[in-house]
Amino acid sequence: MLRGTRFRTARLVLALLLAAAFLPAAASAAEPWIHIKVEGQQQEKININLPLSMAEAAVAMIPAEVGQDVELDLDGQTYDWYKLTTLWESVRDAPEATFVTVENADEMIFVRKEGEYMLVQSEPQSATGAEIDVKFPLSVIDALLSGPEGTLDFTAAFDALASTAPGQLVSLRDENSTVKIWIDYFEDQN
Amino acid sequence: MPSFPSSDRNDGAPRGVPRARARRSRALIWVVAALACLLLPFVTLAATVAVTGFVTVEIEDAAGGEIFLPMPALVADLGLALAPRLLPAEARRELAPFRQALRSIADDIDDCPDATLLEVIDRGERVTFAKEGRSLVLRVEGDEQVTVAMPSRLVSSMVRGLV
Repeated sequence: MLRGTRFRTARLVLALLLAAAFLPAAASAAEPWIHIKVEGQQQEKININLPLSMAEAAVAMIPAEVGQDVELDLDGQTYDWYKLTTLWESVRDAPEATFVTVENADEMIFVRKEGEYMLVQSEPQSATGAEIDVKFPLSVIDALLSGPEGTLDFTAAFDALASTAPGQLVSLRDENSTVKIWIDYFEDQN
Repeated sequence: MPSFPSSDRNDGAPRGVPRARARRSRALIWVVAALACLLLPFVTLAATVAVTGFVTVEIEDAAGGEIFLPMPALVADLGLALAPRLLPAEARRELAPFRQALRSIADDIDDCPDATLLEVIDRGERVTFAKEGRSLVLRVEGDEQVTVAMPSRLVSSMVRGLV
């Protein structure tokens, strides 16, 4: 009886030791990576594959001035940080809906809220129309606007991005180029 | 019980071994010790080079000419020890706000698993920057093939040395 208990304890200790030995490797394998793929018309191609933590460190190098005195021009109207946050809060609180529809000769563009994501999608109306599929977690925009007044907090936005589910963030295709940005967990990238 | 001269007992030779043989053994020990002292720096250096790795540059041109330059990373490390004195104070000041971020990036590169981190293809030329084992490898493939490989920890040392 005592021998059996000792054997079970030894097995438990062995299992814990093995888990401790392999846990760091498993943890590093589960790190999120960001991938950026740009393809041009004439076979030019850029592929970037980076651990999100590395991209986050690179974002920390963005000069502070870039995120200060934020202004956004939308359809001839200028939105400063205060207007942007107010607009964002109302979008955040609103139910799922299509907020913007832009129609031109080449494509129709929709901006809508769906679940925990903001979506920007297009329907091409001509052969040269762009195909747009942007899926942005709301939590990332929350984090981006969470900094001191008048500033954008890129580091917080990246933190939020790292904690969202993997998947495609951006897919753009027009007659000249294709851009894809997505996040996944590291597997063999080669 | 037979008695032996005190000198025979002090040289460590077993009882009954002739004195000449004991002297030869002692001389042999001295020769081995001297050789060990002479070789030790070289063995240590070789072991350090083996552990720290090499920076290699390999160039192959269109005509088939090849250049291969291996340099112990140890030499690069020594160069880096002097680098802070070579970098102008103004440049160091400008880099100072990015110190933490640069160090973090360098550490991430050192820790990250094997992967092609960057690939650029343009006008028939392909440039890749990859982590392969404990090395960082930069490859340019076009009319000329250029491969530069360095231990990834050298990047950390470089960043820590410079900023």
